[in-house]
Amino acid sequence: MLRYILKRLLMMIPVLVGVVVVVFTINYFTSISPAAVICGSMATDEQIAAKEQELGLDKPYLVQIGTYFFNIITKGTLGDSYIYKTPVLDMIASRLPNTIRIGLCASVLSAMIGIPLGILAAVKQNSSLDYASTFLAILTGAIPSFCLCLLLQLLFAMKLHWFPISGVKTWQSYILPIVSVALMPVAMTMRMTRSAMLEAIRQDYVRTARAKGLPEKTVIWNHTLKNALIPIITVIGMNIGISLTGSIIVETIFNIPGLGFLMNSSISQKDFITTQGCVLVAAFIMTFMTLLTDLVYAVVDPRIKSQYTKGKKAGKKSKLIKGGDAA
Amino acid sequence: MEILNIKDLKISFNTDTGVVEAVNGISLSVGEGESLGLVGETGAGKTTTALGILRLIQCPPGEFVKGEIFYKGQDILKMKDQELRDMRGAEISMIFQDPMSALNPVMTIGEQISEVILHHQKCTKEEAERQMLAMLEQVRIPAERAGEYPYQFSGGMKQRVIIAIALACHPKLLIADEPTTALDVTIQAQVLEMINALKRTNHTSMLLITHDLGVVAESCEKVAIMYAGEIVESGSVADIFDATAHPYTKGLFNSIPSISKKMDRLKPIEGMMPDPGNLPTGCKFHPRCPFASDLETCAAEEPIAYEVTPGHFVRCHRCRSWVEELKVERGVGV
Repeated sequence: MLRYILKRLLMMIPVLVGVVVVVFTINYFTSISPAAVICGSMATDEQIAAKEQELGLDKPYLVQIGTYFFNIITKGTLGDSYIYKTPVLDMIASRLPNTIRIGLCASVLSAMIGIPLGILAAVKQNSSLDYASTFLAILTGAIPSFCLCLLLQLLFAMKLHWFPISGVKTWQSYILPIVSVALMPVAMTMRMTRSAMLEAIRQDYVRTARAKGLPEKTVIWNHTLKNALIPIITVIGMNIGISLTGSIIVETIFNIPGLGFLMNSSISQKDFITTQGCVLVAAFIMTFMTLLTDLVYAVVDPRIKSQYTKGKKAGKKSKLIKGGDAA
Repeated sequence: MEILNIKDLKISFNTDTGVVEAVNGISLSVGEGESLGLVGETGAGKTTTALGILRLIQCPPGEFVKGEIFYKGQDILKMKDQELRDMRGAEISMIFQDPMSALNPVMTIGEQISEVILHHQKCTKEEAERQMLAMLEQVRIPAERAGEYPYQFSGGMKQRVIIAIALACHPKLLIADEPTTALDVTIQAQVLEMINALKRTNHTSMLLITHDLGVVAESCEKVAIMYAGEIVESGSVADIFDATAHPYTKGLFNSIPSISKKMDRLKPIEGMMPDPGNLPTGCKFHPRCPFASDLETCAAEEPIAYEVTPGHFVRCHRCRSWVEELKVERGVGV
């Protein structure tokens, strides 16, 4: 198991390198020079050239990208922001907690609403309850995020004054962003739970459980849900990954200094080195969440766990099974 | 005393393409300690009958149209959910057809066996575990494997685990739905032997569902032959095997290769089982029956069960007229 985790962690490196190369290359070939933006519209060509030299932007592509990787490996830094002159890593570190706070709350909220709703819809398939929750899921999934954010602001902040309209001053100000981030995952989790439960509930082992005379509650929670968990975990893992990397739209509309907000502002200010840092961190979170999801699979399903540990114990285990057969 | 008594049971499924009549008014009974073999082709309604007894049929689309199922004098179809749950697994339990899919893949086999004990006997966890280990020993699975998952077992061992689950609470009636179909021949014998031995020690009645007459001969006292949702012939093993009356039963026997007689080809029953959504009129077997052309009543009238000799019932116009002629002749003779 430990070997598997180590292997997967090593496999993350090429993914992250790939992400950096792609983003770096796109930025490099963008026609606008960050130096020109920093110097302003009145700057002379000489001033811009001097700025480019200062930032190291005049060097060839390979030297630039090589330096970037060299700094990450030897100094552990993602460079300094072109505009604020502060280390990108510090900027991200100060903003990430806001994003994580919203992301985690939204993920927990969406799982807590989506899973029970999905189970209920599956157990009472084709009832009005099933149709109602499906309708709700499609409805929330169909509203564009920015539209929803604005509507929430209008109703709950402007009209009713229940929550602050933006910022992160009090805990109440987190509520509207959390709801905005959570709605889409709620719909996805609910739909996936419903279909996975419907798939599992038709299986023979569920009939076996009923033939044992177990109460319906045990049949649903212990026998059906446990077997339906894999696709549900996949969706939840993805949702957590996405919401932890920060929603650009939600953070921008609610003016929350988070990762998404930083990414957005750095792009508009042509602060490419910051953009790159944000993307790298986001990619790291995403790949790490994927690994975590795969590890949770092993906890849920013993068959998957045995695949992970195969490398070492295969010989010993197959012998055991054979021995048992003979008996 | 009869432990199970099914009277005129009719189960149908309402599908988009029409009503499928899976079980059409069957009646059968199983006495205490007795074994009844329910034999028929695939699609005859055997499994539907078995699931019907435990009320494990999903309703809708399934529907119990009419009939009664008495277990120890109590009608299962009128039971409340709680009574039904108390009965399932403790009084009547079931061995399923396919051992590969009947066990929960994410629970250890030990958990799956002790779960049913814990639920029905209201004992402590330790006691349930002790009984579970004893049960495993009875089905000859080493106790140290209780913590393993179904995927770590072979098909025959999985079926033995299922038998252990079914017999864990010492049920009065065991429904075995083709318990050996999914297994290879050597394991089949093992599993059958095990079911028979456990049945004897626990004095359990059994409803054995199979399409294998050999299996019936080995482990049952009574036989019921099922065709298109009806029981066409029933009686003791001797009645069915030695005094075969119904043309369908004869056809089944003709389809078995014999070791003693030299045969070039088997004589299968011509034609196919009728579609349960579109059953023929009159006798359900008449389109395939080699004797049906003799009598016009076959296609027109549904035959009723007729007692050929005491305890041996046949649903066939031809057998009926034949037996009645015989009686008349005898009457004249005396």
